[in-house]
Amino acid sequence: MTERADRDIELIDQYLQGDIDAFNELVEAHEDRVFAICLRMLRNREAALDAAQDTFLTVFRKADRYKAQAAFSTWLYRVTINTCYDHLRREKRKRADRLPETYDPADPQALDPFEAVEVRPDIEQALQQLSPEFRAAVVLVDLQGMSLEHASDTLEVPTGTIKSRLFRARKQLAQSLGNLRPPSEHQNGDTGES
Amino acid sequence: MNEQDRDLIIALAQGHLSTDAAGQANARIEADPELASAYAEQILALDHLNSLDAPQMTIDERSGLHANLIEQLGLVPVPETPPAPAKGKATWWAPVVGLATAAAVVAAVVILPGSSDESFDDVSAGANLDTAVTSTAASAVESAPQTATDELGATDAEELTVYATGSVELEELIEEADGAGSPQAVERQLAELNFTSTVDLDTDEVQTCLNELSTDLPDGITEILVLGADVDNESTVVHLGFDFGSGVEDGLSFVLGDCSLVDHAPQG
Repeated sequence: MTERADRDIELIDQYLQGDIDAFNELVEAHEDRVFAICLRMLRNREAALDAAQDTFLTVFRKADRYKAQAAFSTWLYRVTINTCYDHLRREKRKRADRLPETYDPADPQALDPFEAVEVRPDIEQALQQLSPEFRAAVVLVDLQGMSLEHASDTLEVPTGTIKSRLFRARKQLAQSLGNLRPPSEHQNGDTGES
Repeated sequence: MNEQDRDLIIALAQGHLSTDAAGQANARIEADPELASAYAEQILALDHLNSLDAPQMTIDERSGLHANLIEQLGLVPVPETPPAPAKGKATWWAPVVGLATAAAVVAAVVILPGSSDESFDDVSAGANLDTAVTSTAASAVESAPQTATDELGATDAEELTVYATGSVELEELIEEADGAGSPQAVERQLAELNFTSTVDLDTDEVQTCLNELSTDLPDGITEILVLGADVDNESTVVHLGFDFGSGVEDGLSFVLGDCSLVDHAPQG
């Protein structure tokens, strides 16, 4: 366990004993990352704030069930992703009730008639065209810098599945973006080799 | 391209290969147009992803999140509310957050499965609603620390003390409790309606009706809270609020005993 993980376990114990400072420290330690995951998963800022709040509510209401068999952050980010899945499912149901006749869901390039306002394809829009499972892999590994193994634990799928999702998701992103290069590359001419 | 090729490309793109291994991988990729194309796509996507800024909450958003969490989790003292229950059994839910407060009136929390942390939930995510409701008592107990578990399990016929809502309709209760996601928050918001008395409900009876009404409950409920009850000479009508993950948004009422639903169609 890392120092952060050990500290999280102490804080959970203290929180369960009624220590509000422990609650504050836990939230402050993780809120930025939870919010960032939610925003990248949901794109909509308000929805991301709601999801972040729901995530912490779930975690703190069930904190007594945390057994420290995995890092607290693994559990927290798992709840975060699952909460985002819940939000996406609810949003999908809502949209199904109000789709206009001209909207063709079979067209993968079709813009969401209720949210998309930019015509220029960009990375954020391309991200939203990924399936939630592919997007989660990209968000955790490529945007949050999580290791493949940590992402595997968080999403509860084998590492091979994470690799497969990452590979296919990036391929889909690249194809969505066509030959567009990221903004920074236009400025410095970097080839992007890593 | 096979799985090994894919793993090689991912490892190279992630920077997981040693200098020698990366050199060999690059040579192999350059010699194979299919691999080269696949690798170029991975790098293009990563370049775009790396160009994204890390999202940050504003100060207002951050403080709003903290305030909402503190309220929803009941981490602040509950203000004085109408008559305290005589039996003193009604605070079993309070240790859910590890901070027992001297709440006067309680709402029952019933946690249904299918919420967002399946792997840490003893209840199968695939459980149907009937199973879910049947297990709600256990779920509620699981969500509380051991002391609360012991207290709840100690008696067969535990009682809940809730507001006596009189002629106040369910719709008004839901409207007043709108967004509240914890018993404390519900209690605090309903206190605005100035109820002056309370009702003791037998949790077993409430649970029995929840089981019977399971097919009438909407999908997606994460918690059920008892908002109050109306007692007259003939029956006790219990008002429930449904939380779908962001506070009370809907509900229903039923008659305790025969578990019949009460029609809350708008008055004409």
